[in-house]
Amino acid sequence: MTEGAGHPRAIVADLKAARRLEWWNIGWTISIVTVMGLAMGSSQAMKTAWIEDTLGLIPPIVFLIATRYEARGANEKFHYGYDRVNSLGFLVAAVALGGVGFFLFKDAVMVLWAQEHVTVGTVRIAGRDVWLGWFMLAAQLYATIPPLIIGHKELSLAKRLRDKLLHTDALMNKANWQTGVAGILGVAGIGFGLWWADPLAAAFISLSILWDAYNSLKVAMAELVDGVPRELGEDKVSSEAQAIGAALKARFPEADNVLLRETGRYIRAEVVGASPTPDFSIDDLSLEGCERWRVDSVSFRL
Amino acid sequence: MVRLHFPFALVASALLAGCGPYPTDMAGTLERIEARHVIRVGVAAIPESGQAAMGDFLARVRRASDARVEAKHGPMESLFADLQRGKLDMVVAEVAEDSPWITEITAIEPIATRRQGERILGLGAIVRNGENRWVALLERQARDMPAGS
Repeated sequence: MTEGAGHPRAIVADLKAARRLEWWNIGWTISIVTVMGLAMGSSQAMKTAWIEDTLGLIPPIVFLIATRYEARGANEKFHYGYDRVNSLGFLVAAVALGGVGFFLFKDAVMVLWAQEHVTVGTVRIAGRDVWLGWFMLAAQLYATIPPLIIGHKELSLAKRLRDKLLHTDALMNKANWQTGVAGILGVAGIGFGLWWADPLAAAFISLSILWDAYNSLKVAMAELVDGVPRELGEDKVSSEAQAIGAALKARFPEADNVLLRETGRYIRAEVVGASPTPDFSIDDLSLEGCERWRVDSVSFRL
Repeated sequence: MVRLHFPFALVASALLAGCGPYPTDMAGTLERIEARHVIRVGVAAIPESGQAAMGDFLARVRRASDARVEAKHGPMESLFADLQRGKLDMVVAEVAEDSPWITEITAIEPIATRRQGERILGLGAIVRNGENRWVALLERQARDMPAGS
């Protein structure tokens, strides 16, 4: 929490689980990058999937760094603590996601434009010539399963933790498994003699990734310029922020306005045109639809 | 959110298209050879030391594809251009590992190599990119060649 060290008790267990999951994520991603690197050959979808899997390391690493910093208390150089490291990490993860989508789209369009025909040869194993496409398909299948499972687990944790960085990592994992599927379709298409299957599948997947990245970037920027808190993964104003705003307006009807912003996973409110009563406490507010730990502070300005 | 209907449609169409051998050629080279029983081979300058091996290799390819060879002799660049335009099914030539053509065409693993100055030249078959069934057949024949031939 802002000035104090550590995290609110209500989210400590989930944060621990998320950190553990991200370590698993990094481990699996490294293994996928290795396997894909060994099997990629000259398939465009395979190469792009490899680049994407490598970029997929950014959000979990940033998450681990951000949660570590976030737990630090305020000091003489950072009076408000490190809550916003999460916001910064969210922006980095959103840019990485956008980078993945951009690479995928650019390469796919270039291959389609050049009408590149991909050769996938054979390798002799124990006297039998085996098409390398089978190894590529196996590698792609391997690369599809861990992000599917990890991304799914991250989504529920991100919702409970109101963690946009973790949510973006879940989107990155979605991008990874979808690219894996594109790669499978692409390599299978090569086997069927369809030269365009590989880049066209990649181009379609890249549009989905770019859309997710665009939404994430919009929210990340809104957060960094003190916009009203947004819902996870959407540009819509958060229902929790609306609940806090409504509770404060009800408590201070004389106030001109209630301003809300988000620093990391916490919401800060400012009541304009009213003074707090001596007995005022955030805990006394009727915050229906918003967990107490979400509200970092309420300040007053006359 | 862009839905993924297209990729699944792609799989379905690919499966429908895939009633033949797998992998198959993008431009149908081997299918054409099998139908016409003719392999159109471009022959570039081959060193004396490699001629016997190349003769053996071509004989194996002929048998494996049940076709006769129709040879066209000429300079390598012109033969590669014909190969890319689909006027030849393969070219037999010596190609350096760092040849600028290497991304434009597919060099099957060489049946013989020799060093010339800094470069290693590989003697073997060269085909159009994407002819994966044809490539598989040629790779098999190249690997079946006796060692040191």
